[in-house]
Formats: sequence, C-alpha cells, structure tokens
Amino acid sequence: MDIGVFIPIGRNGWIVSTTSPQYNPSFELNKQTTLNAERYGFDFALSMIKLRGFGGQSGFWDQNLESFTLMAGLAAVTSRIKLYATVPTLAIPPAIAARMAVTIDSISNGRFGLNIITGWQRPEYSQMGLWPGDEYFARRYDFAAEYVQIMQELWTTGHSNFKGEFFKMDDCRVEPLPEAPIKLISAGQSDAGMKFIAKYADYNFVFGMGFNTPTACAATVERLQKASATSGRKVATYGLFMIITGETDAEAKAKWDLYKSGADHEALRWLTAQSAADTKSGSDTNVRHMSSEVSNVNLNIGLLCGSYASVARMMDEIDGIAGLAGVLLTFDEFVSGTKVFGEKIQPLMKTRQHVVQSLKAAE
Amino acid sequence: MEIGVFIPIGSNGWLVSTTSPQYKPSFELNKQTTLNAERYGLDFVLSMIKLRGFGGKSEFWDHNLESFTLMAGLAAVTERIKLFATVPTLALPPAICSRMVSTIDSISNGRFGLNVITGWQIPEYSQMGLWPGDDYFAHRYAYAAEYVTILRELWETGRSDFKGRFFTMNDCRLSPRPRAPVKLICAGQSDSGLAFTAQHADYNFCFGKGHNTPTACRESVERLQAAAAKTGRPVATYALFMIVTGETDAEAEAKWALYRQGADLEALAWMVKQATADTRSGTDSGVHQAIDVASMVNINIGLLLGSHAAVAQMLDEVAAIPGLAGVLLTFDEFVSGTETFGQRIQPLMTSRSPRV
Repeated sequence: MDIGVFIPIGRNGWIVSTTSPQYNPSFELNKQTTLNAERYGFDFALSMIKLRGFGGQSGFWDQNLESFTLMAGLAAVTSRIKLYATVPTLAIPPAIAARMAVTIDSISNGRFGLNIITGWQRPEYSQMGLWPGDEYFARRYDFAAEYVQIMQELWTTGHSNFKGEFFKMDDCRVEPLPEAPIKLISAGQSDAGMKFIAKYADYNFVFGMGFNTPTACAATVERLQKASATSGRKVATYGLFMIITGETDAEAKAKWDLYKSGADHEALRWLTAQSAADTKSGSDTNVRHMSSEVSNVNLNIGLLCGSYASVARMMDEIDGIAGLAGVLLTFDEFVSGTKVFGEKIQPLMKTRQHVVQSLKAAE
Repeated sequence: MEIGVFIPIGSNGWLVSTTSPQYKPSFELNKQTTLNAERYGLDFVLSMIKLRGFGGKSEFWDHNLESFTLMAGLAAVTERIKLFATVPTLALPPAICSRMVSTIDSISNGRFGLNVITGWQIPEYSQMGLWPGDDYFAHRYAYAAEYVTILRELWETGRSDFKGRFFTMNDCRLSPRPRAPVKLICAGQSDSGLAFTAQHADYNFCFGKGHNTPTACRESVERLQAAAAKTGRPVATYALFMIVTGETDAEAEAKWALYRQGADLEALAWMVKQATADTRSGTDSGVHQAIDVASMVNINIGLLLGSHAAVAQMLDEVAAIPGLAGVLLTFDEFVSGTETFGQRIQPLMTSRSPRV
C-alpha cells in the first residue's frame, strides 16, 4: 500500500473547529511535515489549492499558500518523495501550468505530478472576476479535458496547436520537456468526473468513510475502478483518511470529542451554502460529501481514531480493499502526526513492513 | 554599489550565438549560480520570464523554465540573498500572482520581490490565445497599473475590491500576506514605462551601453532618476551589463571574437521582426535598444570585456555614475562566471571593498 500525506497548505488542515490545533500554513510547517514523510518512507506529498476560506471563528482555510510555489520549494529540499501540486484550471492558463510543472520536474529530478481541479466554490473565482457563470458547473470536465490535452501535448512534443471550445493554441511551445512523465490526479466523483479520470488521469481519490469503518469506501473504490476500466487505462485509486491517535483508544477518542465540541458552525454554514450553489453537477459530488451533516467537522473524511495499534490494524484492513492502491493521510496536527505515524504506527502495520525494513537497512 | 545576477532561466543566457557556451536551463544550473552569488556576497538574483524562444541553430531561449517556481526552489536553498521573479501580467491573474508571492515570501522569510512585465513579443502570448490585440501596445502600462494596484491592495490589506478597465475584484482576499514589503521592479524605458515606474516601482533597470564604455549609460540613468523624481518616490536604478573575462585582456577579447563570429542570424532575424511589431510604444522602448545593430549578438547589453583587473576597474567606474544604485550582471557562462567574479574580480573592486 502506498501512503501519501495531504500537506497543510491551508489554515487548520481539515478540521473545522475552534478546539482543534489552530495553526497558519507556512513553508516551515509544510517542510517539516514533508521531511518527516520522506524520512519515514511515505510515497508522496500532495497540496491542494484553496483561494477562499470559510471564515468563522476559526478562520478555516482563510490562510492558504499557493500550491505550485509551495511544491517547488519542497522539491528543492527533498530527494526521494514524490510531489503533487494542484492546478486551478480556471485561474492559470494551461501553457503556463505546463511550464511550471516542467520547472518543478527540473527541481525534483522527475518527482513531480499534478492534481487537476475544476473548481466548485464560486467565490474562489468570482472574487477575481474569473467565474465563467453557473453553466460552468455542467461543462467543467469538458473544460478540464481540453486543458489536460494541451498540457499532455506540450509535455510529450513541446508543441501544441490544439483548437477547442475553451482554448485555442497557435503553435504553442514549451521546452524543456519533463525528465519523467508527469502523472495526473483527479478527485472527481461525479459521473462526468469519473469519465474524465478514466480518460486522462493516472490516479484518483475517494473519501474514506465513517468513523473507524476503514473498508466502508470499498463500494466507491469499486465504482471508480469500474469507470476507469471502461477506457482500458490503468487508474490507481487512493482513499483519503484522517488519523487521530494517542497512547490509548481513550486518549484518541478524547481528542476527537474535544474537536467535535468546538465545531465552527459559522464556517460550516459557508461550506453548505457553497455546495448548494452547484445545481448542475448532480448529487454525487465531493463537496456534497464534505458538507454532509454526519461529520462535517472533519469534512467527512474517513476517520481512523484510536491507539497506535488500533490505527495500524485499521490501515491493514484498508489494504484489503480490492483495487485500492493506497491512502492519502491527514492529521489533526501534521508535524507530530507524521512523526508519530512513522515511529509508532507504521512499524505495527503488516502492509508496510517492506518500508520499515528498508528504512532500517538504510540506517 | 549593489550587485545582482540575471540568472540563466533560458537557454544560452544572453548570447545569441552558436559559438558561445551552449546550455539548457536547469534547476541545478540556476542553483549553482545562485549559491555562488550568495557565497560571494552579491545582493540579489533575478529571473526573467520568456514564453517563446527565437529559434535558429542555437535554439536561443527556446528552452525556458518558469520564473515563480524556479525562484521558489531557489528560496528554499538560500538564506541571505534577495530573490526576484518576473510576472507575465497578461498570463497570470493578479490575485494568483499575489498568492505565489506570499508563498515565496514564506519560503524565503521575506527575501522576495517581483519584476513586472507587460509583454512585447506577440507570439509569447498569441501562441496561448492570450494576446489582447495590437492596441495593447498603447495601453499596456495602464493595464500594468491596475494589476499592480490590486497586488498592493492584497499585500497591504489582504483584500481588494478594485474595479477598473481591465480587472474587476469582488471582495477578493489574500492571506497570509507577505511578512516583508514586496519590492517591485519595472524595466520599462518608454515614456509610459517610466511614468509607471515612477508611480509604482521600487527599482528600475536600464541597459548598460557599448563595449568597454562603462559610463555610457549615464544619461539613461539620469533620465530614469528624473522621471522618478517627479513623483517624489525613491526609485533605485540598476544597469544591466555582461562580463566576458579572462586572465588577460587578450584572452577575454578572443572569447568575444569567437562568440561574435558565431552570431545566430536566424534567431536574430526573429527578434528584430518581433521587436518591430510594436508600432505604438515609440522608439524609446527597451526592445529597440536590444535590436540596435551595434551588438545584437549579446542583445546590446553593455559589455565589460577584459582581464579580471580591467573588469574590476570598469565596474568601479560604473559605481561612480550619479544616481545608480547597482548593476545586474550577466555572464557568458554563469557558474564559472559568478565564481570568477567572486574570486578574482570583486576583490579588486574598491566599490565592493566594504562587502569583501
């Protein structure tokens, strides 16, 4: 099982609460997190892009760094771990994104890939005068498909003459070419999103689900794998989970109860209002999942809450999900979270013994 | 006198020749150049953005990295030197640019600034469907002024509601804001470029001129400083020079003769064609100096050619130009160039003796 970390590019990570650890994103925070991940044999680090926060007393996601420049800095101080930035396709022209990717490919010696997002939170773009109108909700994967085709042409041939509905290239050039193929991630869960993934992406993501129900997302994984099978391309699926841990199950549960008790209702109301704005994409989108009332305090990310041994056991169960390539992890606090994972949890996981042994051998 | 390096983000640096050192840009090349610059106490490094090369046998500038991501990487591996990226204002929305700047500010702990360009080479933008039409030549600094106003609002207050002719912000937010004020560079030389610089920029640039005539740019510096004086804002002027050096004057001259002999005429023809497409900005733009027939092979960047001692002495003459804050240096080859500068030239300069 591959393990990645969803690094804290935005304030307070993925817990919308006033009683969870409160922190602002900085390069230093993300560097320490990523260096821990590299030290403990994680396979990749991914940062999202978020251009507008949710407000509230916790100022959730109000502070956010920019993903390309953050990953460029991290590429310069790491040597092995794979790095993924997220591109907001509405806000950066594809030929510029392609050149940024090539530059980070040069910094990282071929360790770089790109997560493609179409945008669902209108104020992120309308605040900059870049929202194309609400009909975009229905067309966003057509837009993304053109965007990705242009980048792929540039990365493989250095050249694009693509003429589409949304973009027109005129003998466009980007060189140098990347040292290694740039892998693409898409996390779309709607039918249109999954068709896009099947055709263009190398990796996709599903939300882990529920509270200590590590295999509850198995049906979603199956659905994604089926969708990608229709194109005959290999798409690896990853599950998104949050780890809250402690010396004992009780200690971990007490942390979670504390975070829940401080749920930032004002910030959560903003999230709900934004997700309701999309009346075109159907009911199967990620944002609907995140804002569901079941556990919106952690954006309904599948929670693994318990002692180190309990979390390790649940991680091993996840590995049994058919078709799942790995997990993308979030923590309540990332520097200590990645360290505790590497020192206390991973050594107990059957599915990561190969990593534990190779880390020992390298010591 | 402050010294900066115009790092080689594009293939072959600033020599349009088939017989000069031939190289492609990489992070490693720019990292070694920048680490040398930091080691020898230079003050800043700047990278340009160039989205389309000139072609020709030397493939001049056909290979170019992207400026923000390059400087973000360099910020992570340096500690002291100041870093400037260049933003192509036609191709990146100002609110995205402002967040990239905040991020590099975080990586560098406040060592980052921005060079603002309006764009003059049509194919750089038309290839992406982003050229607004040739009327743009006449109002490009009005566009840049709106762009920079939005950047400043976001950096200073975290918010912009700017409504202009080119941009409309609706309660736009930026956080975190940069910890240190972000200095802006503009290299515009036309009248409208100078007016923009005087109103918005902290630094500007002019071309050094000629071949071993270190003070020939004195009048340009005077003109830039006079324009800045109109607004009362301090704007520091830097001059762009190229150093080609060797143990002796003869060795340096032999290198230069070799480079000139291999001038890539096909690439130069492309540059002239592009530069003359702008019929709106007047003949006083920086681009028009670049295509002067006098020394196109190095884009007419003022050349300082000679032994280590001869170059040191000429740089001391540059330092004496009234109103000049420093120089921005290019080399025929950057890793050895910055190394030689730090080891052999700078120690001989009286204008750098406090640093040494």
